[in-house]
This record gives sequence, structure tokens and C-alpha cells, in this order.
Amino acid sequence: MHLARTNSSELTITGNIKTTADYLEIRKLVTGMVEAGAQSLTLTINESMSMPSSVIGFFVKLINRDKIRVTMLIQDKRLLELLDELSLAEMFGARQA
Amino acid sequence: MAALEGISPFARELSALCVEDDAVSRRAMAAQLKGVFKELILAPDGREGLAAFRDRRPQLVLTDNRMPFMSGIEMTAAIRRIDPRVPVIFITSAMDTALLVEALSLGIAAFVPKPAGPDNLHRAVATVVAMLENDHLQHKTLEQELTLLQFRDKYHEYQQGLAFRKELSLFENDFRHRSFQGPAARRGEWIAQVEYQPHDVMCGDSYSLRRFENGLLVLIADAMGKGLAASLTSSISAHAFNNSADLCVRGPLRFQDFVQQYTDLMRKRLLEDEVLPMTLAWLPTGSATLYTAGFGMPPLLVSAGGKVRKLRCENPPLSQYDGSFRTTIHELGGARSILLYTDGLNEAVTADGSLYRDHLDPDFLASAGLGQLLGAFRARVGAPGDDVTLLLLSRVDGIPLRHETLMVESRLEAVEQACQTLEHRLEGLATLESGPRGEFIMALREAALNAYEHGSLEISSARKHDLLEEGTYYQHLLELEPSVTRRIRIDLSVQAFAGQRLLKAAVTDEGPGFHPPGYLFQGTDSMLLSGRGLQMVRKYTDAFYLNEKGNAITLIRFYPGGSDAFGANELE
Repeated sequence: MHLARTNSSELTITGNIKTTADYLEIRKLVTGMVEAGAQSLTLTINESMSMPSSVIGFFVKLINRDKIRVTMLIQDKRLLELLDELSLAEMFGARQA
Repeated sequence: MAALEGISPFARELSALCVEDDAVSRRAMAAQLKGVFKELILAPDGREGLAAFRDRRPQLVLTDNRMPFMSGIEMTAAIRRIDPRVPVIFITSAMDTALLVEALSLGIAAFVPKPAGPDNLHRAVATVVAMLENDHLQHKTLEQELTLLQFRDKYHEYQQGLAFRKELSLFENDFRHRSFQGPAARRGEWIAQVEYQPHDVMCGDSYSLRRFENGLLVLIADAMGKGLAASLTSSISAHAFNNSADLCVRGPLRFQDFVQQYTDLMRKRLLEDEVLPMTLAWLPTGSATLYTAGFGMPPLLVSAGGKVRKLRCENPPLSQYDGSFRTTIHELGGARSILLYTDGLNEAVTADGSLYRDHLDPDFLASAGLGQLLGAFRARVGAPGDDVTLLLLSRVDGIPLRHETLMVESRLEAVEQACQTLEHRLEGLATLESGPRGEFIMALREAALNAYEHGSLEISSARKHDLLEEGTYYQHLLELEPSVTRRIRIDLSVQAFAGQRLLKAAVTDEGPGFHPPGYLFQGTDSMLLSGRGLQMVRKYTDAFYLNEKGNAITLIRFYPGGSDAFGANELE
């Protein structure tokens, strides 16, 4: 997995999100962006067909506790389907990239 | 002014437009209609009358015909383009045939000869107001009926939803995500998969799978008829079955006695002209036998040695008249799968007009797991026109073509490394495509992390949620790790199954074991920070089950045959 920060509120994730290291890397970068003042985040997720439950939990917290508005532009329909099945598509602002 | 009394008080809810070019006549009409309407709008000619109609939208129009700029007929024609239904009373002194025809074609509601005396005028107004009132009442009644229907619909929908939940709660499955020792000469690990597809909210199909100390008891029933009446019988049958099972669940079950007790109970509940098709099946532990008592149900199918055996039912459907019954003992050596189903499956009409029963045997034989069988059924039938219930019992402990065990230290880094090792192993299975492989690895990761967090480190779901909330969860894991000596065992194996391959990964921890609440298999509160791992396991596997203690989870995925050699581990 590769993370690229496009600007202060945009992030592009390339490759499959699957390992604990991926989770920790996403958490670190996103936490840094929020601490720097980002109130909304747009994540473009290329390629990943799934998302570990640890990453899901992190974003649930970010959205509900920290009140950060999140939009996920997702390329792989299987990930969109997963978020929909978990009733998270609306909360994560998930839509087809 | 006696005729004024004939005008309904409903007129006072209406506004009327009165168009008359002669000022004296206009004033006279205004005087005659004083107090009749909520509002009386006056206009001196057709053009102004039309403008007033556009602006004020009166519910009734009274008009002279001969007027400057625009006649009454011309104005009415223009009004009709705006509102084809508004009633128009024509007040005119001259009415030739041509004018009359034109007026009638414009749907003039009433004619009043000029000069318009109060009686004639009031009579015409009374008639038109009565007509409007009638329309209004009809419209109001329709609206009320519609509201009532909507309310009833919502109410019924709500009640049906409650009743359906109640009905589902009566169907028990002791083997939901649990394996059991099924028919085999010695030991045999089996799993049960259930598909319940009611056609209506309430339906006549019911089932239950119950565990006894000496075996597994199954009920599948298909009550006569459809809908609510059938669902009552199906609910009673499931309730009576579970009640009878609860009474003897702690001791060894004698099948013959159970069937006698249960059928006696059910016969009392059937109406004179009612029958209940159903099958009771008993799989004693550690024995390659199956006991059945079928009552007017389609045959059970058994897949063994690449062939399908049909076990025909022994008795007619249960009724209140005949208290006798027969049971059969079937030898099941080498059985791979057993299918029990209601006739919604085999009687379903396929797209080519045939019955699905013509396709059931080959589809059953070729399918590995319930998902594939349902896929084949849906491909041929689409949406079935009846309730469909399937219980598929499958043996999953075949001789492994490949088997490998990984012992993993309870450290996050070691778990991660083990998952990567397993990923490389699975890459060797050439016929397991990258999509399903990625999904299986995802499920395996979740299972391994669950074993590490909840098994080895014994962190409860509630504690995990709190620590995640605080943002200290991973720090907490690393702090706990040094004091934990427990290890996680991951068994990866491949075996042949229905001409395909069954990939199995069993993750066992050395923790005390726990059984997650049922909702975690279905869906969590979207606000929770954890608890989605099991849902992902469910999504990404063909089947999964926990052991009795709750410290081992086994994941199953089928893939096309042709490859069973694991890949080399690049990390080794």
C-alpha cells in the first residue's frame, strides 16, 4: 500500500489496504492532517478491494467523535459493496471514483 | 329570496366570478348574490373576466355572452384551456341554435335567461353549488379512504414485520457457525448451512436443527397452503419440535420415541382437512447412519462417491387421522453432503419451462457448499414463486491433499508475518483466482487478529472499544505482549470436494474461548469502533464455524480443482 498526501485535506491510497502496518500508516498520516487543522478529508482509494476492521474503526471514531467530514472516492466496487453491507457507505461518504 | 335558502351553505366556502358588461345588470346580480359566496369577483367584460379568472381562480363563473372585447363564449373557451372542469353559468337574452351547440360543447353547467330574475339565478346557482359540493365530498372521501389505506398498509407491514421476527425466533439452529460430529464410521466433522427464503412475509416453511448428546436432530416442514394460515401451522410445528427437543435435550435421544411424541402433538393441532408435509432426520454421533421419518416431503438427497442417492419419504403427509408411521435407517458410508429441502426448490419452474427437479441432482452433485447450489438454482429459476428452504449438511474433514501448520507467537508483528507467509502459500494455488484469494486472506487476517486480541491477550470487545476510543489500543497491545506466552496455531489445508477443492484455514488460540453474540455475525451498530471482523469473515468465506470451546475458528472457501500445491514462502 502506498499513501500520497495531495494537499492538506486530500489523500490517495494506492494498493491493497490489508496489514496492521497499513492501518498504522493511515492512522498516523490522517491524525497528522487532523491535528494540522483539516476539518474534512477526501480519500481516493485506488485498487483496494477491502478494508481491515481496524481501519474501519479508526474512521468511525474520526467521523463521530472528532466530527471530521470524510469522503471516500473508491475505485473498486467490491470495497463499496463491503461498506454498504456494513452500513458505513453513507457515514464514510463513499462513492465510486 | 326564498330560493336563496335552496343554496347549500357550502357556497360560502367558494368564490365566484360574475362577468357582465352592463353596469346596472352587474350591480343587480351582485345584490342578488350578496352573502351567497365567500367572495364575489366582478368583471365588466370577457377580457377582464379572463384576467380575473387567471389571477383569482374562482370555483364558479357566471357570465353574460354579448360583451365588448371578448364574448362570454370566447372567454369560456379560454377558461376551459386553464381549467376544463370549472362550472360556468351562462346568462343571456339571445340563444340561437349555433350558440347553444357551442355553449354545450364547452360544458356550460346551466343557462339563465336574461334579465336574470332572482329565482332563476338562485336555482341555477343552487344546482351548480350542489354539484360542486358533491364533487368535494367525493374527493374528500377518496382522500380519507386513501389515508386509511395507507395507515392500514403501514400498520399491517409493521405487524407482519413483528410476526416474521417472532416466526424466525422459533426456528432454532444449534449448529449456526458450529461444526458437529456427523455420520461417519468413526469421527466426521460436518457443518450445516441453512437457506430460508419466504415468498410472503409469513410463510409455511419451518426448520430447526438441535443438538443432543448423542447426535443431531433436524426438522424441515412445509405447511399446507401459503401465507398467514400456513405460517401459523409452521410456527406451531417449529415450536412443538423445539419444546419436545428441550424436554429431552440433556439425555440421549431415542428417535422412534421422539417421532411418536412429536407427531402425536402435531396431529392434535391439525384441522380436519389439513395436512403437514415434514421430515424428521436423526444423525447419531459416531455412526455412519441416518434415521428418517418423512411425511409427504420430497426425497432427501445424499451425495456419495460422485452419485446422488434419493431417500424417499416413508409416510403420507401428517394428518389428524392416521397415528402410525414408519422410519428408515440409511447407511451413509462415504456420504459427502445431505440435502433436505421443501418443494419450493424442486417444483420451481425454470426459465426454459422445465421443473427444477430435472436439474437438482446434477446441480447438487456439482455444487460445493450452499452458496454454489443456490447460485445454480437462481441461474435457472430467477425468483421462485414459492417458499424455499434448504438445509445442507456437508462433511468437511476429508483427507487433506496438502496440510501445513504454523505456530505463531502472540505478537502483532508475528501475526502479521504469519499472514504474509500464508498469502505466499496461497499464491501457489494456481486455480484460486486473485480475487477470491485476496478475500480469503482478508478473512484469515481478521480471524488471526481476533485470536491474538481476544484469545491470547483476552481483551474483551468492550475493552477494545474503550481503548480505541482513547486512542491507546495498539500501545496497550504492545504493553501486554511480553507477559503472554500463548501461541496461535494456524492450520492450512486443501482437500478434494465435489470435483473442486476445499481450502480450509483453522485458527486456534490458547485463550479461554468465547462465543460472540449472534448480532456480530449479521451486523453491528455502525457507531461501534470494533466488531466487524466476523462480518468480514462471513462475507469473504463460503462457510465458517467455531469449535465448542470457542477458541478456534475454521474458514472454508471452495475453488476450482487443478491445483493444490502451496507456494514457496519467500520469507523462509
